[in-house]
Amino acid sequence: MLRFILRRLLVAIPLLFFASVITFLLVINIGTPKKIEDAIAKPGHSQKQIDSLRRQFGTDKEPLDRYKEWVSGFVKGDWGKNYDNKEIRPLMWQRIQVTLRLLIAAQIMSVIFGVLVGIIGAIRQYTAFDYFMTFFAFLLYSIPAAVLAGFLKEWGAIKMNPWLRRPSMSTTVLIILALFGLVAGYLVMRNRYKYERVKPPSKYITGAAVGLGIAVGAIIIFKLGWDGNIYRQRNPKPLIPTVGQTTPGFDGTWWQRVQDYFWHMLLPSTALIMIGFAGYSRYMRASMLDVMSSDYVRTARAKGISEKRVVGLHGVRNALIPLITVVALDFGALLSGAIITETVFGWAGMGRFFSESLTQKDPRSLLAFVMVTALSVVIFNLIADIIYAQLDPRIRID
Amino acid sequence: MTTKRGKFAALAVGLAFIAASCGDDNKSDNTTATTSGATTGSSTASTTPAPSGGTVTYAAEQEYTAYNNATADQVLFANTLILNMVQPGPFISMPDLTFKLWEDMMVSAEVTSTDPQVVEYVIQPAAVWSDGEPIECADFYLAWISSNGKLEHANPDYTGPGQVDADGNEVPATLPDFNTASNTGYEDISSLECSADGKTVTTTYANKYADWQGLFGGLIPSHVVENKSGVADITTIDPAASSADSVAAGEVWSTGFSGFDPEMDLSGAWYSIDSFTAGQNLILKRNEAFYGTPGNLDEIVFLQVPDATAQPAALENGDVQVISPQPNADLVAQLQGIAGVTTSVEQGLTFEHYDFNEANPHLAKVEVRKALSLCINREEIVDTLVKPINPDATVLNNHIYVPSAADYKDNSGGLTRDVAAAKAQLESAGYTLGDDGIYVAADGSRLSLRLGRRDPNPRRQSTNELFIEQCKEAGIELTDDPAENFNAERLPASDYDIALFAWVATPFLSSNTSIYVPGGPQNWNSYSNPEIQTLFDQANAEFDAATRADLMNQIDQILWDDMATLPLFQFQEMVAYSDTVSGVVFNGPLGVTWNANEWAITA
Repeated sequence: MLRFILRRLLVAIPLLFFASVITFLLVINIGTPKKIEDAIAKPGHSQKQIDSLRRQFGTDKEPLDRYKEWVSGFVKGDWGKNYDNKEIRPLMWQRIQVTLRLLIAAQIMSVIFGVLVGIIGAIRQYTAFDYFMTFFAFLLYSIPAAVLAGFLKEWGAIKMNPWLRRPSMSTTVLIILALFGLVAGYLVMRNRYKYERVKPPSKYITGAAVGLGIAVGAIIIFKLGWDGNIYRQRNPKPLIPTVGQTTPGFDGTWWQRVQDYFWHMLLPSTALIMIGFAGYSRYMRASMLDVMSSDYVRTARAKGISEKRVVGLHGVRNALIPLITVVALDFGALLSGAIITETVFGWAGMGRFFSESLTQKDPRSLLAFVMVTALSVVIFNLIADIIYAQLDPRIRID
Repeated sequence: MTTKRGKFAALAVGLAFIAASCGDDNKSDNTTATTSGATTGSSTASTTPAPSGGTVTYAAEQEYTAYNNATADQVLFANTLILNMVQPGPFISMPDLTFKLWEDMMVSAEVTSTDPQVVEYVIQPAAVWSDGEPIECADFYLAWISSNGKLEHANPDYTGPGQVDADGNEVPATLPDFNTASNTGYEDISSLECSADGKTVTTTYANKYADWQGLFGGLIPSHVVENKSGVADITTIDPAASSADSVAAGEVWSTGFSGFDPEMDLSGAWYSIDSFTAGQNLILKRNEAFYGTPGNLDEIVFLQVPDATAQPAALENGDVQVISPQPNADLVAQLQGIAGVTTSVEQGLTFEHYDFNEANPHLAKVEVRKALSLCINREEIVDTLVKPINPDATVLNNHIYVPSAADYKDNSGGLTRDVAAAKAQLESAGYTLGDDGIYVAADGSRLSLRLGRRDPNPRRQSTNELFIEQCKEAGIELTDDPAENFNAERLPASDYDIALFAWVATPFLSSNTSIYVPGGPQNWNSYSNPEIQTLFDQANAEFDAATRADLMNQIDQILWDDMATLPLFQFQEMVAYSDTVSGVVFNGPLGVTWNANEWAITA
């Protein structure tokens, strides 16, 4: 095991070296850094300024010298300065934290949702739920992130905030919500006793009552909780923002800051979850269907094992194996950020680091970005292999 | 049955959602008013016309990078937008491109002698930095020596004459002590003297510089540079020869001010930088030590919204109150559709133009250049490309001034499209119409020219397409000549026939000199008219604004007569703000925040 890990990490060194060479060749050929172009385009520009910028970007040196200079600095931890003359390494660390804060939660949520929807879709194949989720997944999967973000902003913030300022509901709405609880409770119970021969009506009534209770309780808690919300009293801004990571200058207790983070993360995370979950649910559904039609599941059923155990133990566990690889690789790619989501919601994470560096045509920033993300992919690939071997005893790593 | 129930459940959820988000909209308005009232102190609103206090958030596309915005690696507009409210300077650049003395800080700033030019600045005795130190002559002295271009030390990479770098440029033997972006104006000052109390500054010019009002804007506190560099007194630094002190001070000046450091980034004006969170926001708070009329707002927040398309939603949602994105037709339409938002699209300072390279034998003839100016339909180009953004957009008819400038004059002589006149011009230069409908010169060469532009740029591509189509009728063959490196490499190397790019009209009129005088560093057209040189020499030494404007318009008239370059239109700029904020005014040179001290919350 240790030898395997060491070997893989050693292989990563030449891999990263080649990646850096290719990236370097690409980035030095994408054109003159934007700052230099802009300086040239100014009337009465000074040659001294342009010379100074070219020294800053290193374009006055031969490519080989530039590469040598970059590599020797990079391995020593000096990643150079970016187009704004900021140190790249601390800047990147800052951006990584932002990206992870936004993406990890979203990623975990989309995996959970995706797996659940995939499992249900597979065991209840061709039911209304399955059709609806299939449609929904393909719809979300095909909507461009920027468009989805636009919808979320319009309905999740601009239209929602005025209402949230005093979340009162008309009697009609309250009745609809209560009815919804009632019907949902009843439906859950109906489903529970779908395959039973005796269908006790008292259970249905209890289910409906519990559903109604939950709905009414939620409404009461919601209304009570709102008026006492200190966060809202201290913050005159709209509750759900469309841009930014925190309220500028907001200074509250730990719990208030957590809420501030939460509301800022709400829309971008929702967008990411909606897009991410769609893919995982399709993946999980296909994998689950495959497993459920396999011989050992038929054998398990024939042995008289309960359906719960068949699905849970023999089905889901095996169906998860291929998904683990996908998820691990996706986690590896997290560090490259979510360019569109970060941009439209005004988050300064790795995705924006990349797009800014590319717009500025800044070689050192781009190289640093590629190195960090490549390393992350290598490591998570390794982790995927290890997990895979742990889950599937047929696979050995050595 | 399952299917039906499933549908019903889904429908119920959907209904509940819609009902919840639409219910009782009318009640919400009352709450909004109360909430913002509580923070803006609207109780005083009824008695005072401009209510004080509150926070306004501006959507900043780029983030703050440095307090010293005059170094070669900075000069960012994003910094200007913030420093407008922070750094003191004797003059304010007004929306009509004139300068106004800033009376909070200055008692006076006048030309006391014209030969040699002597300018005397008297600083208000009360003017201080936010740490209590006086704003004084030494601050002016630092600005001068940092940019006078005389303080240079040996370049360690320099090996000998003729040494060139990878790009084929000569390696300089010396490097500046102060890594300044521009020496313009400061290099013409031969001496700067301080009075004993440090409140009077006398500058004497070796060469006359009529744009002197633009100098000494955005002052840097010299005592901070002294503390950081260990130089005892900035004013003792020899302005003409590099010394250990000048190198030390230059190091701090050039690199010490990047990022935000509350100890160094002092305020000498209405607001101080209170905090800066990289990638997120920057907060300005009222400068408690300010000596003049204080700003209305308590706080101005620069919230980073890098994506222009995200700004309208942020404005509508109330995340920000003021935005100034680059306009396009969709963005303008979207903003105009938002209730409670005022949108104004303005013609900016950057203008598009065609440059005729006279090194080309065809373009060397004034008749050919005139023919091009006659066959192009600039109105159609503006109608197609600019009017969708701003219905009031116009063709630009001056090389030096834009219409928002007080001294703008149409010197084009009513130039409009006239194909017959264009043909007549060509024929008078000995061109004859060829069989393929394209004119041929007397020496047999076809009148075929390339329209160079930067790629990718859809607007410029469309501009060229229109120009090509329009001049085909006049028997001139034009072809699109896009190149990624056009602006950065081919333009400075004069590698083009006709170039399409943009210049920025600035309040510093003398900066136009390098574009139009014979052999000027940015005169890439080989355009040479000695009269232009004479007039610029005169105008750059003229201190009377009216006479100077007259000279500038004479220069412009010659540029039209020679048809050296052809201005097309200005780029549009915009500002949109929530009706809860008053006092927002567009300003080309300084950006929308130039008068943020006068913004107020009205709701």
